[in-house]
Amino acid sequence: MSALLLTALVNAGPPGGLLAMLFVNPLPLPSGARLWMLLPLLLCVATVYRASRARHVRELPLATLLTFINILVGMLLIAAGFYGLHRLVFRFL
Amino acid sequence: MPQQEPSTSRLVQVGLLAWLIPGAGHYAVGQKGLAAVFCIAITFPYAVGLAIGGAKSFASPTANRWLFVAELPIGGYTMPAYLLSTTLDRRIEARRQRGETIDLTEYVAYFPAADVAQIYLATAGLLNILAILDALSRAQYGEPTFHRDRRPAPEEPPAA
Repeated sequence: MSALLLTALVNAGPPGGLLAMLFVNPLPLPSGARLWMLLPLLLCVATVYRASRARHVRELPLATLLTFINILVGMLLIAAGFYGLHRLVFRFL
Repeated sequence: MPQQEPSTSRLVQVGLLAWLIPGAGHYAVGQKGLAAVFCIAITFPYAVGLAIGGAKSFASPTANRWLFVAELPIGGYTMPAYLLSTTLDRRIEARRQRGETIDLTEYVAYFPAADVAQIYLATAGLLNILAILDALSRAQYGEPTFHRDRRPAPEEPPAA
């Protein structure tokens, strides 16, 4: 049943069918957007991580924001460390 | 804490719901707010990843086996995406047999978009493992997965 529905949606072509528009033809990703895609993913990770420790939803916003910032700063430090290592390698080798 | 230990069938039901749709397990144990949070925070990266990568190669066990394994923790999304992927394969094959020239970039994303799609999809799948465990923990103990880690250790009985 679902296969028939999907087939009908796909065969509707790009103008027809939400699935055809969303998941059949890949959305173009601008080259400059690649690094920025980190931010929404980090927010999702921070939200799920904090939600798995929370008793109520009202505990989430502040805790999620702090976790988001923690992870982001950690990732930036790791990136800076690797960039420094990369520069050192090029300087001394 | 729940008054009674939940039955095994209840835990299986919660686990299956959480596997099918992110947040559905939490909804079943009465945590409707958290259910919405889990649903949005897991559905978003999955949908974005599949939209950027395209279902043909990014929900296919033959094209990308390990990514498919990482997506499997969201059964309710990955199974329809897999059906879409097989449907697309058949459609492309039919077009080839008619002698049409197929431009695969119409269906498959390549570097760098492919990397972003893989990371989003795999992360969504792994996040739902956390959501499933949390739903099971709340169904069994009435507490979040990690909450018990923060409980103070029971005090030692006073020495006689």
